[in-house]
Amino acid sequence: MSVRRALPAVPLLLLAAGPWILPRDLVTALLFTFLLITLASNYDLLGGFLGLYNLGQASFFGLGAYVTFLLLLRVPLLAALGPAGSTVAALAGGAAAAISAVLLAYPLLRLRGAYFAVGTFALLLLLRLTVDNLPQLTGGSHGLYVSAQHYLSLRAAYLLTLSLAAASLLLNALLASSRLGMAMTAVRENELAAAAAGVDRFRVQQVAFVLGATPTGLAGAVFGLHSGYIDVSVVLGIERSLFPVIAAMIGGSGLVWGPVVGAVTLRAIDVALKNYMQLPVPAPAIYGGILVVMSLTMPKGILAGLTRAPQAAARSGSPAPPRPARPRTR
Amino acid sequence: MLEVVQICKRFGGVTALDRVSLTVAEGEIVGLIGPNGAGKTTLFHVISGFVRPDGGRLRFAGREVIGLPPHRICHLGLARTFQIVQPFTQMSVVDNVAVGCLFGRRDGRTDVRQARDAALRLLDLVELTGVSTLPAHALNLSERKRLEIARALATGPRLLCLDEAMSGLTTAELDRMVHTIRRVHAELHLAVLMVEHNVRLVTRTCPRLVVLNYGQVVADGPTETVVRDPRVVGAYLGTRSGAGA
Ligand SMILES: Nc1ncnc2c1ncn2[C@@H]1O[C@H](COP(=O)(O)OP(=O)(O)OP(=O)(O)O)[C@@H](O)[C@H]1O
Ligand SMILES: [Mg+2]
Repeated sequence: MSVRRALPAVPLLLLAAGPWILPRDLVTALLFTFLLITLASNYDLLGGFLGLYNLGQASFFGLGAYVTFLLLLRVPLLAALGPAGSTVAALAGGAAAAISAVLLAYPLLRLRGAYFAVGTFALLLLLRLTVDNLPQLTGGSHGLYVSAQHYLSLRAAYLLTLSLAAASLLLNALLASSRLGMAMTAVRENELAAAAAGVDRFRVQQVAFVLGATPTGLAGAVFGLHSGYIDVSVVLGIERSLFPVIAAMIGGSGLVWGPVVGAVTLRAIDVALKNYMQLPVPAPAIYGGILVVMSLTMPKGILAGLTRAPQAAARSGSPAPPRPARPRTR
Repeated sequence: MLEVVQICKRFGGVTALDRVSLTVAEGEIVGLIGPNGAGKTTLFHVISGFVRPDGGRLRFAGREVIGLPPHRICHLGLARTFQIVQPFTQMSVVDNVAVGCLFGRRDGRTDVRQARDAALRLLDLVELTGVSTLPAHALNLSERKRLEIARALATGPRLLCLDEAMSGLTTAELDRMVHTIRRVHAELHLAVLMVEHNVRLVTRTCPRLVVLNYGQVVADGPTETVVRDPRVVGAYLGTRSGAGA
């Protein structure tokens, strides 16, 4: 039992050894993959469990990064503390993401379905505008730099993003079998019935919103401290917001490993196209083409496509339920 | 325990509830009947907090409940089922009920496994044990109606409001459902307010009837008296006020 439980730790330990055994550009590529896994898993905490499609996941990434940078730039005490100061600032960046999620839940969770998606996207655009228009504070389009003493080394950034990705994954896995996870599924399946059964729809969604925002905020902080420079297009980028969505959908939304599979696939295609192929057309065109084909052939994602194929076929045979002879699910 | 006083609800030009008053006492079992569109479901929506009335007062378990959200009213001990069944379709039958065990009370269960055990006992009570591991979408109508009841019971209610738990069932299923409702009422010591179209079955199950017609209470009293009331007969024959019947 305890051995089986410890099994996932083995690949994790191997991955953790990465910076010491792998070539530098692969380590960097993995770091970016971990970032995408974190954001995709966090996105899918709402997308998969609650059916709430957050197109503004990058808002929390940007908030985490900007708050971290502003603290280091504006609070002399933190700047003087060196690495300890960076740590405090990064944690504050994560906390800022969490607190904004608590507050943003009030307006955003009034929205349903497509309106929620649009609302979250509008929030991202609003943040971008705000940062652009407060150049004294945020550096505007010039971005912000922190001094070299605050830089995170590649190794440290790698280990931190790996931890964030693993923690996000663990969070989704634990949720799946938890009390909160049951409430989330119930709310997704039927809000009316959930309320009648005593579930506080708003509170459940708010908690999920915060849980999905916090690791993303910390990831933004780590990313910023690693690159030493942030601006709107990097930490509040439209792509930064949409790729987690694509990763979750390509991999398999609602499945713990779905966003991981999707993120790895996306990153692998990206790296392969950009670095290892001589292309006659621009890489994004091919990239887009591959995504279209994948979503057409596996609409429920790679994982679902691989594991659920026989079941799905059996179900589509009888749309109205006379009882299927299937003895159990779960 | 439940006190409905002069409740009004309009939908545009339709007056769904017109100064409706009724009470349900602890442990009582009351039938609520009336023709289609009489306002029975609307009254349930109001009582359970899903629809805010335009006027009137509503007390449950000693407090005013108008304005409380549905989950808070559930926590006070009022559970309802839906006329159009509302299962969590992708969840297993036992988990559908476990949600009620976990969230139906403020001091409810916190452990998922314990909640599932409690849910299984309730499924036993409504005779659904055999299908507990199936996803809810695999159930037939009669089973879904029972699932509605089990999930409502899981919230530990003192008053159970059943909206047409028996409509759409076959004759054999009807008798079983009557039996189940009686058993639930007896074993769990709760009050039941049940909407039903099948007058024969309600009269068998409920010692007291309330009749709604065009949003108004037209009769309220012991079943034998109510079913002989000319206004009630009139309502069922479709006369506007029943005065001519
Ligand atoms: N959300 C709504 N919007 C507009 N009108 C409504 C709404 N809900 C109910 N009504 C109207 O209110 C009246 C009462 O409806 P209600 O569903 O309460 O009747 P009912 O007694 O439950 O009928 P049935 O026996 O058919 O279930 C009907 O005329 C109905 O059309
Ligand atoms: Mg009705």
